[in-house]
Amino acid sequence: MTPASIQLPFNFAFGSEADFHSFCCEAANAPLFHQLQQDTRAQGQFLWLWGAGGCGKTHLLQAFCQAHPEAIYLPLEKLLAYEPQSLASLQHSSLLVLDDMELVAGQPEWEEQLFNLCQQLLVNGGRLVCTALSPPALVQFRLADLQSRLQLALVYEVHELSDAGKASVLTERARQRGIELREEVVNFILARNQRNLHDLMAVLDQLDRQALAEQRKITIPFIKACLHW
Amino acid sequence: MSISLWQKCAVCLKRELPAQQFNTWIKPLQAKSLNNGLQIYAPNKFVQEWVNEHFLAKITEVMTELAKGAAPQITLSVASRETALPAEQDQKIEDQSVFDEEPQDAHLSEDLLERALSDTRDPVSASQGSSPSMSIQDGQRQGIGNSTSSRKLSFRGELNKNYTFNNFIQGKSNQIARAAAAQVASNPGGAYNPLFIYGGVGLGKTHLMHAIGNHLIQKNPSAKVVYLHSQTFVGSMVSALQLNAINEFKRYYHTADALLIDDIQFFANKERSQEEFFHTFNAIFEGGRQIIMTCDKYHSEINGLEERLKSRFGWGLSVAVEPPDLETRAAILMNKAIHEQIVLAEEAAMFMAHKLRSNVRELEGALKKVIAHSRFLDEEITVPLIKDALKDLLAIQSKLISVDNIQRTVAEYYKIKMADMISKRRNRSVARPRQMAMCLSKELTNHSLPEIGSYYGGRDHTTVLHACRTINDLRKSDMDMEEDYQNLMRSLSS
Repeated sequence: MTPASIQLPFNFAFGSEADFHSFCCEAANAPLFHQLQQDTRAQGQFLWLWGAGGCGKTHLLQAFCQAHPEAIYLPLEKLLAYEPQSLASLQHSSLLVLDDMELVAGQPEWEEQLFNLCQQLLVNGGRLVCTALSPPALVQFRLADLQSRLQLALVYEVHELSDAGKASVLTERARQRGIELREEVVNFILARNQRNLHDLMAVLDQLDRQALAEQRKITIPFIKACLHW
Repeated sequence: MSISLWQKCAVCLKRELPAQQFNTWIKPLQAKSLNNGLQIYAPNKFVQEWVNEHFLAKITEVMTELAKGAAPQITLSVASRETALPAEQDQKIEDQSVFDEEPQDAHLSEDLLERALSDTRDPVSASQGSSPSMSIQDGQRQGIGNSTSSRKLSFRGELNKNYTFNNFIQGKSNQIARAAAAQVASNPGGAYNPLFIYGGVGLGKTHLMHAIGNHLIQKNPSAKVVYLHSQTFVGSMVSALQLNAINEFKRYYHTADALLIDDIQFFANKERSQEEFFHTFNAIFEGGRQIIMTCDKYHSEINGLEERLKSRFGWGLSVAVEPPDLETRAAILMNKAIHEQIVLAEEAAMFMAHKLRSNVRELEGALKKVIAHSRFLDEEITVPLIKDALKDLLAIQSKLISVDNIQRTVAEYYKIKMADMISKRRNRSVARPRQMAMCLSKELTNHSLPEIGSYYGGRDHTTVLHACRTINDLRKSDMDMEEDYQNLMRSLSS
């Protein structure tokens, strides 16, 4: 059984590029990056990463899971399709990785089950690594007991990349697909597109497909025509 | 044939898989023999899909190997009322050791409990929606309602040895609770029975409770001191009902020398659990043994709790744990730093304590961040390093705690209009809340006094200074004023 097959729930698949090596780490994220690559147990049982959408939280979680084959990775967006009691199934996990924690906030049954899970992990010595859009104190949980237990976590903000960092990521991802993006092309995209990495990767996907279909290089005129910019 | 094969398969999987994987995914499964195959039931869809995705191939492989090529056809589905195991076809796990770990204190809903109660002859349906660890016990059962003599129902109630009176930091906010706890620890079952410790989250209630338990054990190592979370009590009770072992359950809890129940607010609206706890309470109390409970609020304020319980909770002593004051917070931080073998100077501890006010867990989380940052930079912990480590947290706090927010919160608290915060009116009903808001603005924001004055209808900085002095003097002489100040501070900084 490969590590990935242990970690992945259902048909959810990691991006093949989602490892530590492919994460563009700028100075602001260096302490977090260092922490993730260390044994988190040394700093307590809970680790909480937060930041705006598209800042790289999921990438880091998945990279973390690649490095820890025992991890059970669960995006709550998918888990919500099941009953809240499903969380009780996870009380023996030695390392549980939950993405998008804010999705259960305000749902009393999920919050109570999550509280139970946290209690059990604390008792059993299990570890929890999770992400959210904000730090635990600001997630709108109704259950104060849950909120306070999550405040035990070592909390890190995942900072968005600078424009130079985004340009570098875009260039590198294109290169991995066999596309050479010239600097002015990258700057052109950054100047016109939404600049979070999700949107930038989506644009790269679209351009890649179109360029392949039309057997053309990705140039500024091609982008203008393709994306109607 | 298939069932015994499944048992052997489980033994192999237990050997091959990491314990947590086995406990999480394989242990919950139940098997039922079909004509020429094996039906495996998962307790819920989530487990079913995970097992299907990650373990079914392995299960098939192991069974094929064990059956020397003639493995039964395996079907995996979710246990439901329709798929209940008939009693005569109930599976028997011969190798009890495969699953004989302690029954889990599964956290089960009252809904599940009702199902367990209403249909105790239907183990599979009773397990639906429960934790897997619970359902494997069902799977092992030789038909619920039959004798359970061969089955063990154990209860978990472990004290955390790290929580003692020695490392409990005492301050004004918790000194009464600590004194009461120490008294109970020296004289259990005496005048302070039950001891009801209440207060907000993360203030040390659980620590005090464990400290009592540890002290009791230290005095009398053979004492039966049972600590558990109220959710665990519910889970154990449901387990007992499902295993037809409610008498064992009662015997275990009713004979405790000291019963320590954490967060009893979770009993709210769980009628069957309250009923059972009522009897447990009576048995222990009448036996002159000690009961200690924690709760997030005073017993009479717990909604969804039976009156007879509320009144019993008040029979002994109820003590509050308040949020720690600045000095206590700093002492807590320094104590935790010592525990982590880290040097935390008083100045650094005071800085953190000044900035973080909501609860001890928040302090602990922040200290972990500071320690991690110090290790990352390989630098000593100083105030500048703390500022750097916690800059995200502090930035968020400063955004949240604006003068406008303070004015709004204080106006709501004293039920005056927002406009009164900036008005020229000087009667006491308006002036005092305004002074309180000014004092809090100075305490919680970094604005200069002239800036604060400008937020309050363009008042002079000396007016702000006077307001701060007045409020601080009143806090010393007037208990109500001190309580108002603490309530507002907690509300604004949590």
